[in-house]
Amino acid sequence: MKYLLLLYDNEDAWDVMEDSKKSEIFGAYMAYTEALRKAEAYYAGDPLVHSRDGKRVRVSGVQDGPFADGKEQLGGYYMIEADDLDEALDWAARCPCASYGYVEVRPVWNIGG
Amino acid sequence: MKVMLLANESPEDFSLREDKPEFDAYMGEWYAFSEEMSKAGLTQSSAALEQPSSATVVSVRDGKRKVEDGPFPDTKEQLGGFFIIDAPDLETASKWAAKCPAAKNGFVDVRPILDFEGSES
Repeated sequence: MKYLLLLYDNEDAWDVMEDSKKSEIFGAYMAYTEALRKAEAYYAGDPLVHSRDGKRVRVSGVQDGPFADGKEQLGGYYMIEADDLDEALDWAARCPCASYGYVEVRPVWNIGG
Repeated sequence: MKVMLLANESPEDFSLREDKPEFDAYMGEWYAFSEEMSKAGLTQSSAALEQPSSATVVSVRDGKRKVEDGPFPDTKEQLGGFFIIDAPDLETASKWAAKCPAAKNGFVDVRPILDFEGSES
């Protein structure tokens, strides 16, 4: 089954983070992605730019980012393969983001399947 | 530029997935939008998600895993699917977002993807 891992964190923290800490986290993501690949569980993954550079679009109008929903904002995603939800949750817990933000796990809808 | 379009649907739109006669009309709009974006050469990948009630949130603090089941009613709209597109600029991406079925009763977040050295598309 395919699962989408949505990575939420306090995006403002990155603005004031020291470069050494950024490098450490970046390395953790490289290792995590490599682990997913080795397990043949990796489909895709991307980091997102700060939500201040995003837009929220409704038919009625466009709102510029950042979005004031809460402290934590979507910062990236992984699309993974897992046998079941438990396995997907294991991958989510191993994701670096789980240790400083949280990871939302959503099953992909197999339409008509 | 690579952009992620996050389709946040209203509870009413999510409920259309459950009702067969309305389901066809609901899906028809999504298929039409997806096809138009593909024909325009924008879409790199996309996926629809199961109902928000199927969501699980995982965090780890001090080595301890915390797991919470969805849905999470802090907002009315919930993520129902996404598109990764290659658009010439944010303006174009936003115009396409406005045509997305989710933009009628919910909203679509348009988020540029970070382009860093070593990233893969």
